[in-house]
Amino acid sequence: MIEFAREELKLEEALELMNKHVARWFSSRFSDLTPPQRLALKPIKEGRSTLISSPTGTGKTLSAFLMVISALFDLAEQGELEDEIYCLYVSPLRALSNDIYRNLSEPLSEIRRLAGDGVPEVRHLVRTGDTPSSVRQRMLRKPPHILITTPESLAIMLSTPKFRERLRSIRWVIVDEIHSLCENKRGVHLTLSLERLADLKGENPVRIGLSATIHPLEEVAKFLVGYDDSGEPRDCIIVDTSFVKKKDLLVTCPVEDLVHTPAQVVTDRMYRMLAALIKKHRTTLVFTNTRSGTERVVFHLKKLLAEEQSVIREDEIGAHHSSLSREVRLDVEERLKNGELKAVVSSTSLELGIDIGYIDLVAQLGSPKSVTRCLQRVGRSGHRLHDTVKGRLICADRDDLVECTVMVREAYANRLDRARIPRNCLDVLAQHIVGMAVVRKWSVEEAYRLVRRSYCYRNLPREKFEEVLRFLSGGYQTLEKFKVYGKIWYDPEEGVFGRRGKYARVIYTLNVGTIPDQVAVKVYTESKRYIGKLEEEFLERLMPGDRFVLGGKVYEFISARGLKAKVKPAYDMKPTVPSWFSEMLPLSFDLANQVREFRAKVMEKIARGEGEEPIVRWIASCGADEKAARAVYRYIRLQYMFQKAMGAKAPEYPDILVENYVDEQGRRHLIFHTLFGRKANDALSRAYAYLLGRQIRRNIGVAVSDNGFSLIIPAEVEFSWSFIRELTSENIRSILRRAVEKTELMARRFRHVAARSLMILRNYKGHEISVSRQQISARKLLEVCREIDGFPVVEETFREILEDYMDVESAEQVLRKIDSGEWRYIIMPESSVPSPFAHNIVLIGLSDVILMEDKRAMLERLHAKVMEALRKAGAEVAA
Amino acid sequence: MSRIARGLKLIGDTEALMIEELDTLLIADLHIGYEQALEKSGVFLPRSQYPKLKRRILELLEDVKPRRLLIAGDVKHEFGEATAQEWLETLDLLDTLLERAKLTVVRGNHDNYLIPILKRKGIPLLDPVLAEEGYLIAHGHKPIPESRADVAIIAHEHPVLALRDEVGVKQRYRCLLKGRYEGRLLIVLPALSPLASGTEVNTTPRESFLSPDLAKAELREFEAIVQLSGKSYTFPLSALMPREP
Repeated sequence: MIEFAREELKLEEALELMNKHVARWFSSRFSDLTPPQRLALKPIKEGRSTLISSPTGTGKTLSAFLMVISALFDLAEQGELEDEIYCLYVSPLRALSNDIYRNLSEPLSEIRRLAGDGVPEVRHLVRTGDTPSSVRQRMLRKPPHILITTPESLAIMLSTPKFRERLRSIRWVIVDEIHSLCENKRGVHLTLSLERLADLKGENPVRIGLSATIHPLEEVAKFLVGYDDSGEPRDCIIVDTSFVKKKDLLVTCPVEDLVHTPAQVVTDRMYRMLAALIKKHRTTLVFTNTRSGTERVVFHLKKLLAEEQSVIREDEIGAHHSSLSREVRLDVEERLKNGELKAVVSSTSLELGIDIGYIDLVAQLGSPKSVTRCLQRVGRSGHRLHDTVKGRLICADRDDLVECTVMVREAYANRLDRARIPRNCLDVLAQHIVGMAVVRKWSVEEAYRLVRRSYCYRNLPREKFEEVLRFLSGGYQTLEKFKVYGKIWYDPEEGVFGRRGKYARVIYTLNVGTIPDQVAVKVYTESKRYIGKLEEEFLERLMPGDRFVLGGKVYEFISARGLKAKVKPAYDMKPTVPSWFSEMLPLSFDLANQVREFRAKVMEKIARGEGEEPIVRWIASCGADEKAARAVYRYIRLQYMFQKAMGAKAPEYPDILVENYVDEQGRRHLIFHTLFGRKANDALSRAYAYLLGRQIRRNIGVAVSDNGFSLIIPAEVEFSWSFIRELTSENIRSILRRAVEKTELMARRFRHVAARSLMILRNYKGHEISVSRQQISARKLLEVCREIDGFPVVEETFREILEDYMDVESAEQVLRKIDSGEWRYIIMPESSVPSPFAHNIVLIGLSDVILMEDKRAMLERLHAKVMEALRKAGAEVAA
Repeated sequence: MSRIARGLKLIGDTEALMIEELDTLLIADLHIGYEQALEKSGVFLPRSQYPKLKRRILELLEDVKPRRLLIAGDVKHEFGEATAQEWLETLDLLDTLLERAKLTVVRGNHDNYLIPILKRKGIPLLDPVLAEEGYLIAHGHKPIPESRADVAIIAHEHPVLALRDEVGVKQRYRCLLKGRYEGRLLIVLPALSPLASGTEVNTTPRESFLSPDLAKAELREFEAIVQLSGKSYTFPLSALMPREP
């Protein structure tokens, strides 16, 4: 059963539960328990699995370790502490592993000092991918009592014969930063490792999960503990102290009028505002949403501070993001901890729980796109229990401003977005099956049962499981004789599988993990200046003369050789090819719905003539300052006026506005104001594009944003709106499969899935393999595999795109409302001006293209065009 | 099928060339067993290509019923010595084709280990070229030798035409190249292999071409011909290549 912990321990009661030396140490260090400790110590002492959700700085890590350390000292005192691993600590970050190692060293040595020399030492060690093999060997001979590791290293240990034996003794497993794992395949991968560990041991160890703010905790708890064989979730106690800290959040805007103030002025004021905040606080953590944004902000801040001859020195401002080298990042973290920095600008890399010392303000530039992320980020401030978390959200974009206003309101109300945990990922499954097969022979039934104990596979159909076995054993061949590529041996008649060949273990060990290699093409200018990286599939689509966006700037493609591309700057030009890859975080579906309602509500107030001042005050009451509230009001009012001027019946909530805008270049944009977040819009837009394309037999351009999407076609092409009615909640999945199967996205994701499924190896027989050496494009691989019915690697690619990359479930939810007539599309007459709400969608340009024309029709049309162009050129020459 | 020059017809969906005077159907670059080569670089693809390839060649033979089938090099992909099992597809193909037509092979850069097998089956192997009736047919990995032939035909390059439409879609089409080079007509055959990658003839810089002759030829003066569903389209490359700096 999953239950919330209710019983709060008093300090004396807690000390009673502890080993006496541990209790003495605790009393010498702390005057009281923290909220999570009050709730968590007892269930952990009783050996119950526990999920602890609490902000940083609330003694969360110690709540997990305290009773474990206490039990270990009990054993040590009784002379029963063996040379065995008792506790396994798994964290997603190597850096965090080292932090934890250091943070445990002190209590362990101090408690031992208190206990006296008669009590043996409790040892702890780190094992990650960085650990040298000599150290690993030593660990085998004399294992630590507490082993600190990463999900990938755990998976490797589980498949290494000698190390595996050492894992049988584990009694406690602590999973840290579970909120950063449960929404991606790394987390899925970990759940299977935990089940393999439980299977190896013969009983399920106590699982302790640590999480920052996340929702819903019941699901995360099930994710942590898994299911038993009767299909019931295993027991888990939830300790929820997510909201113990007070909040001080405010949305601010550099100017009152974002519509008419020139962009340069807005940006300039924004940096001044940020600089003023930094000056007023001791240490400020600034979050941007992109890595390129991080660099830009640091650059402008430093420039501004120099101009102002500020007391803040340039070297008191630092940048921290994942593209920076490890040394640079460590240096910044160190200086932060020592209080040597006034401000650090980061994208996502400092979201996770690396210890960064005292932060008194978090400034967020632009929208963090979800209430949960907003709280996780501002939660980095006020690192002590009784501090208030303080966040300032600075927005210079109108849509961001509206979004953040609603977000802060929701944050104050403690209403979080739902986390989405991936299910039935066949690639991760395939990897684990190989890992399982290399250690012993399995009956299919037994292995299937094990896999279904994981939260992420509890509904996995047996056929899917067997298809993966068939794939891994080299099935799907035309000739039975060619079983060369099999990684496992599988006998479907007997229902057993096991290891095949001497390379299987090496392949598994060298290719374990779920983070895809970003096969990057390096981009240089003609003068050999390095610009950045592109993905292989994108490069494949480029032709000389194409213009595209990289790192926020436009470049023209000249040529490519191998994995190097040559470009020249075309900063003032518009891009000609869509760049769907985007670093931008998607707006969550739940928050998007709130924003949609909020916009409608403000519009309603305007329509009722409530007057500017009362409405501005109402907006401000959500958690925005006056300038911000006024900017929000003006933006929504402008849309209201526009809709009124259009003469058509204005949509009323929950109606959805659809515009028909023709631009100066003769392109028609069908703009759908589906404010449901980008992931749902990714799904809706492609499905509608496919249906429209089928109707007019042309390729369709698509632009997608959080607030809506646009379908782009030549203005002269006749079309009918009937395509809208063809899409329903019933058929969207099958339509989407057809819509994405030829896209660049599909090829790219297929490459990642194939790598996770061990169909494409990064490292084979000890050689690192570069993609250029693999001699085949992902697109071609996909073409071959797509012809094979039910091929798991292709099926998983479709699943990943529809369910993880896009959000087909939310799209279905929207379509059900539309199917039932509860929500309607209100189509506006053709216009040569897009509405204010549509501006950001039009500005995107192109996100993707849905291929509808068949290859031959396109050939025929382009051939006619080329011949026409030649005739014209010829005529001019003749004249 | 369409006539692309006197006595020459493009067959299928840009797949083969019929030389009428020689009553010969010409195909090239089959690269059987490409999957196996991929395995060496860590890519494990189910083998499903061969039956399709075989069926397609038989259909082409059925359509034109030539006296002779000529393969202009690279029948099997692998360079190295392969086990008997790995030759199964190649042996099966040679046996099947021998039942339908006279078979001749021009040696390609991948064909070293094929030689003993061809010998055993009595299939003539021409190295480096086949020269008959004013036609010179070579694989193309080495410079075309001196000759008085009017028409030179090579393969090896796997030519592909890249086209881009108004909304930014890029499609690649297998094509045949045709143009004047060193005083004669030069034809570059499309590759029959569905897996082996090709050269985008209108976007690739000259120095990146594989065939030494194509690296020297004035490709702007060439035409790329694509044939699909019985209709053929000729594209003057000058209209599709970026201006030279």
